[in-house]
Amino acid sequence: MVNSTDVKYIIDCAQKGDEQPFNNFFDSAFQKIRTGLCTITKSEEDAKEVFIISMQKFWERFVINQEQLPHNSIGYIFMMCKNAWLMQKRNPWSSVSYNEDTIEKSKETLEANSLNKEDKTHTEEEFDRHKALAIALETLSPKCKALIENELDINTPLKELQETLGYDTYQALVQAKYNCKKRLIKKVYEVLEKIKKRTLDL
Amino acid sequence: MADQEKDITFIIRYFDLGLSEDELLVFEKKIEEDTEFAQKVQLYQKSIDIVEKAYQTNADKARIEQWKTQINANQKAKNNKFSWKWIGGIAATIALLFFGWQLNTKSQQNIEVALTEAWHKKIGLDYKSLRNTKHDSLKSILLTAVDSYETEQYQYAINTLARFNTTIPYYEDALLIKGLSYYKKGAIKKALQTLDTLTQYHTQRKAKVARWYQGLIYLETGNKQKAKEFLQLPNQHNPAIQLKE
Repeated sequence: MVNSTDVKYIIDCAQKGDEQPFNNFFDSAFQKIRTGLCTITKSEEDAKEVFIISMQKFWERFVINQEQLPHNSIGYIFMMCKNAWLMQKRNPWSSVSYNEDTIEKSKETLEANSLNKEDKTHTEEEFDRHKALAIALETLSPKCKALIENELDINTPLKELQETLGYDTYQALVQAKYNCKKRLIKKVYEVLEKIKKRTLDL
Repeated sequence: MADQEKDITFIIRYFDLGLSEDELLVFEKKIEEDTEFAQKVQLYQKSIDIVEKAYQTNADKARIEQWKTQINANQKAKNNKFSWKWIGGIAATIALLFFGWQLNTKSQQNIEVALTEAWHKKIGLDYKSLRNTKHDSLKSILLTAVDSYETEQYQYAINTLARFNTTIPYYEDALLIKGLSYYKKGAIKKALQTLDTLTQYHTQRKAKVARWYQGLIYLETGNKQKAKEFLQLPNQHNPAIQLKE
């Protein structure tokens, strides 16, 4: 059984840039929970999808954000998979990574929803999304904004921002970026809520 | 305003995949019963999609692609290994099939009879003693739910027990009636989840009863393998189903 010391070591390696132990852990974790997961999802493909979503979130929370590790990592990952399965059932088009296929499916869902619910055109929905993101970005601190926008700057690697923004370690910088992203999501949500309220009031 | 913040915190934890078994049940129920909450969840999902679409890191995308390749490669290797075992096993299986079929038909009939008798026992559902003690409002609600369950008004039973949570007495009884009601109305997954919560609940007051019904449900829905984790199935020494201790 993978004990908490092993997982701590795996996380430490990942934080230092060596992802191989984590990839091995990924394999062994899947083997351990595969049967239980297939019982829930009734499909091997869904089980894999849900597992990958959970491991991505595990990576974000425990490697990037350095949250305290649970006592039983495998059990916790299984629980995360149950969460992810509920999410998948409710929102089948959510995906861990965006590719052309996912974007097309998102557009279809968007169009179907807009025709059914608020009589908004697809263009109006897209405009609201861009607007919400733009407004939310402006509410972030300059440091946060720089971290987020670095993602689109192919000329400046993230590491270069460490000294500029005053972080002691690269890990602290990565963690800060993760938290900025979370803050941005919450801000986007708040803006979308205001836009929705304004639309209903009209 | 405090409720709004509470909702958002709950939603964020859901998207962080950080909810416990109990909390997942509460979350699922809240989405079904509270339209405003469901809309907030949808809107938060939308917010995540907007930000992820704009700012998902290349490193993240590459890692996910690598994991997809890894998980499929490992599965392929396992399948190849198994295929040789299957070829070897087919010959022996054909010989055993006919003999097995004969045994199976008889054993299936025994199980069906035993299942009917097991449900009929209504283990853990004797609330006579509760009816005879002094009434309070919570007991009344629980007994109303029990009566609704008995008269096959399953949704009514579930709705009646909506307010029961971990802070309220008779929570374990509420979980039991809800779990069984979910099953009777066809929500098998939900039923098993509810009964599983009861099995794990710290007081353990109704844990055995929960395990009994989990076993019966698995057996009745054809999952004999899983049922055996909870029950001792009928055999030549004992025709009745028993709880596995």
